[in-house]
Amino acid sequence: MNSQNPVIQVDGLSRSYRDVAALWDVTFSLQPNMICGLLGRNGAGKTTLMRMLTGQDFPSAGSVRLFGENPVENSTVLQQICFVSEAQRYPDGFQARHVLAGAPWFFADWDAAFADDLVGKFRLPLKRDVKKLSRGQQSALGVIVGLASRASITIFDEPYLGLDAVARHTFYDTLLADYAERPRTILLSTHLIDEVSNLLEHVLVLDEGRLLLDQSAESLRGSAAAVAGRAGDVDSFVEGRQILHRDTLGGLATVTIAGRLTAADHRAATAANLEIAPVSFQQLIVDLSTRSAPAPAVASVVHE
Amino acid sequence: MTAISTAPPVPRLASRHRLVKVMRLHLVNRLTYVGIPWIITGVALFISIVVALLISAAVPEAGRQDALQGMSYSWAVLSPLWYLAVVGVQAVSAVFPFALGFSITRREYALGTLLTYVVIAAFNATGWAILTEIERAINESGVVFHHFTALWLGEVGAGAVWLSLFALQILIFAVTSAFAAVYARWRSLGMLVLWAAVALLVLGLIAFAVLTGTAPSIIDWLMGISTVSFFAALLIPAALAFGLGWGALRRAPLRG
Amino acid sequence: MDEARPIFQQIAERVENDILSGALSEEGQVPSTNEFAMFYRINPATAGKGVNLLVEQGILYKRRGIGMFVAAGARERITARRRELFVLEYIAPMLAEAASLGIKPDQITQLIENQLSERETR
Repeated sequence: MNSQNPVIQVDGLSRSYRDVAALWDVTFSLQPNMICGLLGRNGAGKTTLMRMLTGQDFPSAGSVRLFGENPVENSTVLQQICFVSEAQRYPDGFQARHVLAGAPWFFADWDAAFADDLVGKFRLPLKRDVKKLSRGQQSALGVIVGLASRASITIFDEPYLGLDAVARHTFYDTLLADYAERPRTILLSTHLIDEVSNLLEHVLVLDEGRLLLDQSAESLRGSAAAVAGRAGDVDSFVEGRQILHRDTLGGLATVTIAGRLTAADHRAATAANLEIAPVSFQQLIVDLSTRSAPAPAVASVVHE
Repeated sequence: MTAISTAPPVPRLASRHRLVKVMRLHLVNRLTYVGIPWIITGVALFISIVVALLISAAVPEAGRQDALQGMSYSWAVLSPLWYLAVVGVQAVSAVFPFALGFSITRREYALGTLLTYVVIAAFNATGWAILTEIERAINESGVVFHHFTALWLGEVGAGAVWLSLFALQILIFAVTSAFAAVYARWRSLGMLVLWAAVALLVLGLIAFAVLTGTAPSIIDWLMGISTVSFFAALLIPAALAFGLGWGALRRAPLRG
Repeated sequence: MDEARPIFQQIAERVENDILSGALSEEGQVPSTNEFAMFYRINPATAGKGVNLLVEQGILYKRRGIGMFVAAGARERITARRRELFVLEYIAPMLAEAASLGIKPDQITQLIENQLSERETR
């Protein structure tokens, strides 16, 4: 761990719309220069959080600090941020070329040659009304702005809705290559968790407005296992462990447990005729955010 | 691990500079602010010419002058102004969220937009005032034709023409943007309250004038003030509307 | 990539495999962290962690400003460690599986000998 000042610091952040809490008491901080995934189901509060990070929305309680400062109406801070929103609206009659023409006026590190290169890679039509572009082409435009802005903090909210597999991999490859050359802080919200999990260094998981997980991606990998076998055997094996998920089929059961298994555990499982399978990154997040466990149990997973 | 400083220092750009950039962003698609108003001007002028030719062909010699003179009551000259109402709404409903996406502050957006309105209104007013003067000269040469020299525009000096067109545009921009901003902040409830407030204000003023018996003198006073004073006075409600718009936008959250 | 284990360990193993197979020779240069990241589509920090693991173990060494190289004797060291793991990772699970299938110890020895002679004749 490096002990630099966090580039993003969020303390007790809450946002409610009338009586609905979209975000509840979220606290975390991010060190500079990493790719962080913001994961969670639709309506978990991802977009709300991103809007408050970028001064587009206002906290009901708590605080946001970017580079140690409040981003709201803070030109110095905002100029170092690029927020690519899935719901970005464009003025009537705006074409992709208008967007790309305006971008360098506001993003100090804008790389026009890089943007041109990306326009080619994503085959983005420049002279068509943005509102008439397909969902995927609009996403490509956002991705191009986000990457070519080279902003110190670049935030992508579901950046590839409608992009096909080829275009998504173009995005991942370009992001990685450019990030390797020019490290910066990238916050990426997505529900295509399996596709991006290897790109992430850090993971934040939101569920129903609460922060469920704030952890390095590597420590999360392999931090759960699925144990399958005869229900009775499985139950005695998982006794005393943190159970994330449970499926039964007749007398058989598959139980997902938190925590890394030791070699002794594996031997014990083999001896008990149990099968142990790894739990994919995506499955782990799904299990974490579908179970209705009280918050303290979650904390024990996080600090496993 | 690579250790790189937290925040590469970004030069603090002069905010004046940023406002000009916001204006450039508004004008990056010139069709919206310049193209369409002048296309409307052109089409309206063309229609006026066709109407004038039809009148000349259809009306007998005796009444022709009067009939052509009647065109000076057309509102055709003001037709581009109605389109500017659309521009004023769109500036808030679409350009504002777009501008926030470009990391522009609300303050920079509001002042840059005001700058854009002033520049565009001045540009259009200058163009229309020049055409009004040209048409006036043509009329003096004996050809009767009224498109630009319609309504009060044929009767006051070039400066007053310019001021009136400028003030009308600013008022339209400011009022429509204010409505859009109130909607952005408070949605339909805000709209309801705003319309009710406007209606109450108008009714209140009328009731005051009628009940206190001052209505006739107010009307006399209104008829008495000069064109220049009247249109210059329009800039006051425009400023109030702009203030209302800014107040609403300052804390308007972006929503999906 | 295997889901169950940290990626940096897997990267380290792949580099070791390449050293064992001779694809990477001793004193030869290995790809940069960023090249690993791009090739395997993983986060550069993760790739760096994998490479650093090998540096700590003396398998790789850094030359300032030039890059990363395979240390002399790296192959031998990897072989030695893998031999230790051979019992744990292959023999032990095999015996456990054999037990659950009711294969007796002398049968196991027989099966191994059969396999070996089959390989030789091939």
